This record gives sequence, C-alpha cells and structure tokens, in this order.
Amino acid sequence: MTADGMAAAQVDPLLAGESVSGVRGRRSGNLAARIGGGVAALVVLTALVSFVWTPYDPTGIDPENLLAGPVTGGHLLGTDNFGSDIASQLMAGARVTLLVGIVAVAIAGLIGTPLGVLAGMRRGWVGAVVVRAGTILFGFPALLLALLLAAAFGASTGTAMVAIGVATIPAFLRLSYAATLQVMASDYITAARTSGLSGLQIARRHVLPNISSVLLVQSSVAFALAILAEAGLSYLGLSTRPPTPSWGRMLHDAQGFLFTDPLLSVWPGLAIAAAVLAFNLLGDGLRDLLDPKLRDR
Amino acid sequence: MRDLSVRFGSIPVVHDLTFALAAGDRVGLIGESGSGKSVAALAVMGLLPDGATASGHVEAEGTSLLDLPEKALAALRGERVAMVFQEPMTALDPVMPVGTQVAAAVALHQDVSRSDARAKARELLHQVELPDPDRAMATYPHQLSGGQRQRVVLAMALANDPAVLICDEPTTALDVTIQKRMLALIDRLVADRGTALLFISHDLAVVSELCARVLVLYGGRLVEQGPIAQVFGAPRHPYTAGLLAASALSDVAPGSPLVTIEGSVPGIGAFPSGCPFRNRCPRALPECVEVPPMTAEPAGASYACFNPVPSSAPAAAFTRPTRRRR
Amino acid sequence: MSGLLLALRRAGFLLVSLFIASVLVFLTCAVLPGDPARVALGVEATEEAVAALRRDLGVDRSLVAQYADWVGGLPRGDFGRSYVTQVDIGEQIADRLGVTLSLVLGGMVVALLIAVPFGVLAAVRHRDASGTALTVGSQLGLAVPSFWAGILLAYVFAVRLRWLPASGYTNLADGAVEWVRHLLLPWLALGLVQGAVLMRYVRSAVLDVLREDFMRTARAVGRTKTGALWRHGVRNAAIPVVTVLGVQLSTLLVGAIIIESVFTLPGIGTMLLQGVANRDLLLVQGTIMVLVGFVLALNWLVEVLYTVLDPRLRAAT
Repeated sequence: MTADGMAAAQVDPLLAGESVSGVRGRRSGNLAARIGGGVAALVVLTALVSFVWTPYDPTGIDPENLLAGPVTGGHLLGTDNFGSDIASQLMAGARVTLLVGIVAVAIAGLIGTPLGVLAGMRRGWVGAVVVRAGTILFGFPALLLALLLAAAFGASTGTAMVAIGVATIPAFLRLSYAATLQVMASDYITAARTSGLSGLQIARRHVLPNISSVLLVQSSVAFALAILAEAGLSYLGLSTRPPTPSWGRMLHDAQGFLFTDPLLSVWPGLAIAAAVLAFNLLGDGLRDLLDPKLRDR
Repeated sequence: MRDLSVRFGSIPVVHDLTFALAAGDRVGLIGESGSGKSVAALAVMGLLPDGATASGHVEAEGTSLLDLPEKALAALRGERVAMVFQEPMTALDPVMPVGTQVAAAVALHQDVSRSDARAKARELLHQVELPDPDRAMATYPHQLSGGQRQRVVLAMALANDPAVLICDEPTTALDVTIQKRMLALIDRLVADRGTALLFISHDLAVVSELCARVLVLYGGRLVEQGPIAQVFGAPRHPYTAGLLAASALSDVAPGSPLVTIEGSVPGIGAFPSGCPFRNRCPRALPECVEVPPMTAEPAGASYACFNPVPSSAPAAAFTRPTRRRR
Repeated sequence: MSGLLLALRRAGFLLVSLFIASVLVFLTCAVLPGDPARVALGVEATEEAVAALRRDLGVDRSLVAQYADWVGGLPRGDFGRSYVTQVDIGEQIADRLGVTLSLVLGGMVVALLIAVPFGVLAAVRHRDASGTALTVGSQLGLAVPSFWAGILLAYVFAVRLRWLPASGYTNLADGAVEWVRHLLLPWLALGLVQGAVLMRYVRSAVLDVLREDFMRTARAVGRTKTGALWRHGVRNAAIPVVTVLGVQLSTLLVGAIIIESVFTLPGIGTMLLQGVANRDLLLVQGTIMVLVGFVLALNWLVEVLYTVLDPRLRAAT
C-alpha cells in the first residue's frame, strides 16, 4: 500500500480493524448493537410519534407556567421562558435531528462513495487527484461551510444539512477508496477482469457488496457526528430557525437562564448525548458483528 | 523441567513434559504443528500469551522459573536463557536501528557504558556474519532481508552468553539456500560458546545434523527421547517410526506411493484421551486409552508406548534421513 | 528520494492546497448574493452613490482582478478593510488569534493528558473490568456535545461554587493567573470531550502494538512487560495516534469557535459569527481563509511528523 493508502487506513481505525469493544468480539458487539439500536429506535419513534401527538403544542405558550420546574402544572419536564412544554419540544426536536442526519449522510455517501470507488478502481493520476481533493476538502469543517452558506442564504435547516453533508464527503471518500483498494487486491477481482467484465460491472457485482458492511458502519458513525454537528450549528443559530424546535437552540436559550432554571440546560443536552451515543454504539456493534471477515485477526 | 503442563484457558496443550538439559547439550525437539513444542519453550521463558497457564516445575541452574515475578524472570531472560523465534520479518522493532536494539540487549544485563555496549553490538553483528557491520549498526529492520534479520535476532540472543539457547524453527521461514548457512552459523556459535542448545523443528534432517539427543513430541506429550543415532536408527514409538519412514524419500522406489501416517493431526484440544496417537496408530491396543508410562531403554533413551516397534535394527545400521526437497 | 527533496515536495503540496483553498473561499464569497456597497449604504441609497462606492471599494472590477488583489495582500497580512465596520481586517484577526490559539492549544493539552494515561491503561487492562469501565466511559465522553459540557461546567464552577468566571478574557500579558482562570473552564469543556475521542485511538494503537512480535523479542532479551511497553511500544503506538491528531486539531478548532460563544471569549470565532450576522463578506472571507489555512498547515505538519516517526516511510516517495 502506498504511504497515502497506509495513512488512509491509519486514519480510519474502522479499516485497521480495531473496535472499542475489541477483544470480546461478537458478544459485546451484539450488546452494543442492541443498546445502540434500541435507543436509536426510540429516538426515531419519538420523532415519528411527535408528528401525530405531543403532550402539548411544542410552540404553544402557557402563560400560567413560565419557567416551571419538572412535574409542575401538568408539564412533565417543565416549561421554558415562554411557557412552552419542554417534553413536547424535545419530541419535536427529534424530527430535525434525524432529518439533518439522514440528509447529510445521504449527501456524503452518495457523492463520496462513488468517487472513492472510482479512485480505487482506476489507479494512476485519477486516484491521486481524488484523494488530494478529499484532503483539501477535509480542511473545510462543517462549521465553516455552514457559516458561508448562512452568510449567503440565511441560516436554515437546509444550509445546515448541505454544510454537514458536504463536510462529511471526505470521510466517505477516504473510506470507500481504501476499502476498494483492499478489494481490488483480491484474486477474484483478477478473475473477474480476465473473464471480461467491465469496470462498472465489477464495481456493482464485487466491489460494492464487499465494502457495504464498512460503509454501513461508517454511516452509523457519521450519523452520530452529524447529530453533534447539527446541535452545534443550532446552538450558534446557524441551523433551524424558530419557532421550529431544535435541541441545539433549546440549549442556547437555556443558557441564559442558568442562574434561575439550570435544569433547562440539562434536558436538551441529555437528548443530544443520548442520540449520539446510540448511533455510535450501533456503529460499533455493527462493526464487531460484520467485520470479522474483513479483519484478519 | 519436570511435569510441565500448559493450558490455554481450559484446553490442555502440554502434558507432564519432563526433560533435562546440561551444559553443552544439543537437544532437538521434534514435533509437527500442534504438538505443543513452541508452547513448551515459551513456558520456559515465561513468555506464554495471556490466558495460558503453566503448572509443574521448571528449573534453570537451581532457580525455579514458573513462579518467579516478572522482574526476576526478565533478569534471567537473555542472560541465562535466550530464544530465537520463527518469524524474523516481524521480530524487530521497526522504528529503531538494528545496532541500537542489539546494544540494548547488551546493556540490559551488563554494566557497561553506552559506547562499550555499541562496540559489543558491532562485534556481535560481525560474529553473526552480517556484511559490513559498521553500516549495519545504523540500518533499520525494513532495510534487511529475512535472513539478515534473523541473524540480528541471533546476535541479540547470544549477546550475554546465555547458558541455554532455544531456537524455535529459526530457519523455517527462510529460503532453502539461506537455511544451510544459518544452521552452520548457529552450529558454530553454540560450539564456540559451549551453550546448551534446544532446537525445535519439524524437520528431522536438520535436527539430526545439529543435535546429539532428540525429544519427540506429539499431542503435547513426550512420546520418545534419546540419542539421535538410537532414536532415528531404531525408533520404538510408532509415531517416530512413522515420521522417519515418511522422511526417508530416498528409500522409496520410484513410482511407488509415498509413505504417510494415516489421518491428520487433530486440532488443539481434540486429541484422544490416553495415548494421543492412538487414533492414528497402526499398532493401537485396547489399553492405549490409558496414558502409557515411559519405558527406559539402554543408553538413556525412553519411550511411552504399550506396543512399541520391535527393536530389530541395530544402531550401527542407522542411516541419516535425506533432506526433503522443498 | 532524499529527505530534502521529500520535504520540498511536501511543502509544494501545501502551497498548492493553500492556493486552491483560497480560490474556493474567494469564489464562494464572490457568488454569494449581496452587494457590499448596497449593504454598507443601506436600502435607501441612490444608484449613483452605490456605483461610486463600488468603484471606491474596487468591487466593480473583474473577479480575477479582485482575487489577485486579495490574494496578493494575504502573505503581507493585508486582508483589506471591512466594508461594514471600516476596520482593518488583518489587525482584527491578529488581535483575536491569540485568544483562539490559547484555547485550542490548552484544549489539546487537556485532551492529551486525559487520553494518553487512560488510553494506555485501558489497553493494558483490556481484559479486566477496569479496562471495560474505561472504554465505556470514553463512549459516554465522546457523545457529549462540548458546548453542553461547557454550560454544565459553568453552572457548577461559576454559578454554584463561584470559583471561576463564566465569561470574559484576560490577556496573558496582563496577568497569568487571571488568564488561566478565564480559560480553565473552556479548556476543560474542550479537552474532556476531545480526550474521550483520543482515548479510543490511543487504546486501539497500544492494543495493536502489544500484539506485535517485536514486543515478544524485547521481552525475550530481558525486558519486563512495562519496560518493553515504554521502550518499544510508545514510539510505535504514537504513529497511528499522531495521524489522528491532525484531524483532531481541526475538530478542536471548530469546537473552539463554539466554546468561544459559550464563554464569550473575544476570539476569532465570535468575530466570525458577528461577521456573518453583519453580512460582512470580506471579513468572513478573510477569517475563513485563515482558519482553512491553519487546518491545512496542521495536516501538513502531521504528515511531516509521521515521516519522522516512522522510518519505513522515508524511503517511500
């Protein structure tokens, strides 16, 4: 492997084959996937349910109960300074979180993966150029892109999604490139080539199925990172605008009331952390379950 | 060692191994993969992997080794007992120059200055026949071939004139042409220093060239041992006989089938109870479900079998088995 | 390839990357809707006034000319003058750079102080309950948003205990103790989360190294387990960790921008956010260029460091 390839594999412990749960392999992988998958499913469920029902209208106002504590006045988690129910806002906020995650990962995967596979299959200067481009793009974190887009078009969920998605492209690019390189070195590829299959056919029939497990794991991890990024952007006011509820913005608003109602800062942060943890665990668990074939340990 | 047993978790790998090594001895340890020979050696060095436990009694010059704490054990390793491993390509630290590694081996056990250690390292590299030792001192492992790396490992092992040198298949991973030179090197170095040699291999011809005594291991048990001429000339254990017959290619008439031992070596933990060879042995008896005791033979040999091969061929008719062409 | 040639080649790549990045940044800002002259003068301005101002500012020239002008000034530290605030952008950046850098470097130090000891421990004890506990802990740590950590820390230490300030900044030159006091909570917020992330990589690297054959050779020659770990393990494990460090520094930079908001520190981040709010395009352009340049330079530095650490790469072209 070239120094670049080695570096790519080094940067991506996914490819180098080590996972957090490490030694115990399948058993703990199962556990991680279950816990992660369970909580993730919970988040999805909450978001879906929120379309149909929430305890109160998330954007509604309850002037009687401003900044109420938990279990006060019929509000399970209390209310914010407008009297809007926190629990309802959390449920509705899940929608934005998931939407941004899905779109961002989709953008990154649909653009990054084909480019990476292409670079991996066609050696020579095409590969080098694509990898270099990826490296330069790596220098543009989601935040900076989001800032640019926000400056131009005004902040919105859309700019956040695009910014995070584009910023995640290099990760998918590198991963699919390195994984494709590994696959291309296998004997059955040589066999396929000799039997006259075209590049596109080889890609579809051999490369993609074999890198799919790594991509799946990466998608889960990237999802977690996207959630984190969106929360940060929301906090800074560069994502979803009011009145649509968003966890990051809830946290920003809550900070102002740190002296009077500290609990306000706890709930949205907890939600974010739980969602990120869920998808990270899911990714880890999937890696443990799917990867033993790719690893040679 | 006496009654050394090693288990990987709950799976027994070595059973009740007993043998002794005296100064200047040249002993070969023969066995196929899975016989437990490497494991036994690692147990002596205290280098068993995590999860493996050793029980029994291992002694080096009066010091019991098995229950020594890590620090004391480390002091003995390299100084009294040294080991050369099978895979030279990954045996050296890739980010450190070769000379530094050898010098470190010296400095660990001898109270010398840094420059003295480096001088000794250079001398050692010269002794293991590395071309241009001065330049070699500064090279990195990835710049050396497998044979050269193995020489470096040898230099590190012999750096402190150990009483015992254990070689675990040191030439198996090398080219045939290099093998012969490496073996000659080991032969010479060990003879010069009077070091006891425990040479582990699956290659009967190599062992017969280098060693005076031989131990045959199967399924983690010692099945036969004794002077080479006797064991190879008149094997008593069916397994030994089978091994010899399978290696004696020159005795096979052209066109006739090669001699083999029926069946294949079982995996770890899958050996039958009692005599481990009984499911492949053409001379198996009902009593072989019990572990056969060691029966002594003249000239200090012994074997463990209820139904040994008759000792028909006198020792004088012993012919060395030919090297297998690879 | 000799070491010098390799270094020059690498430096060349860096310059090319910087150049391409500058073009990208400039183009993105150029195509953004918003006429700086109109923004500066307001909606009521007359057409002539707008046109005149455009001539003054030089925005009526071709894109290439504008770009050349801008890029030419960069190496001199001349980023132009803000359309909105009339302040020299280069000066502003210089003023605030120190704050952000202090934040980033301190955060990295905290992260390393957490990641290295705990990562090594987690690797050495990976079969024990303590090792698993550490690993679980790291999973929790990296799921936490750093700004949430900052808010919670601020609550505990600033609101409740009143030991540390929740906002504001003192220059190092004006008092080291005060400087530290203002930066301590931000450092912790940044470092704790980054530390958890880094810890996973450290653990993974050490675990890999422990399985290597040369560790066994080292022990066979007479080193203890810990001795072998220190002498051989550290340098070999550092290689993959350093690679990750480069990526992490970029993440740290982004995190720093957010943390600046949490603790109201007068750094590049807050300036950038204000610039976006004010639609101060030239300011945003210049600041982003500086940040992107930093990230690219850091990644380049990491690549160089990587080659220094791993002699196997020195021969590779």
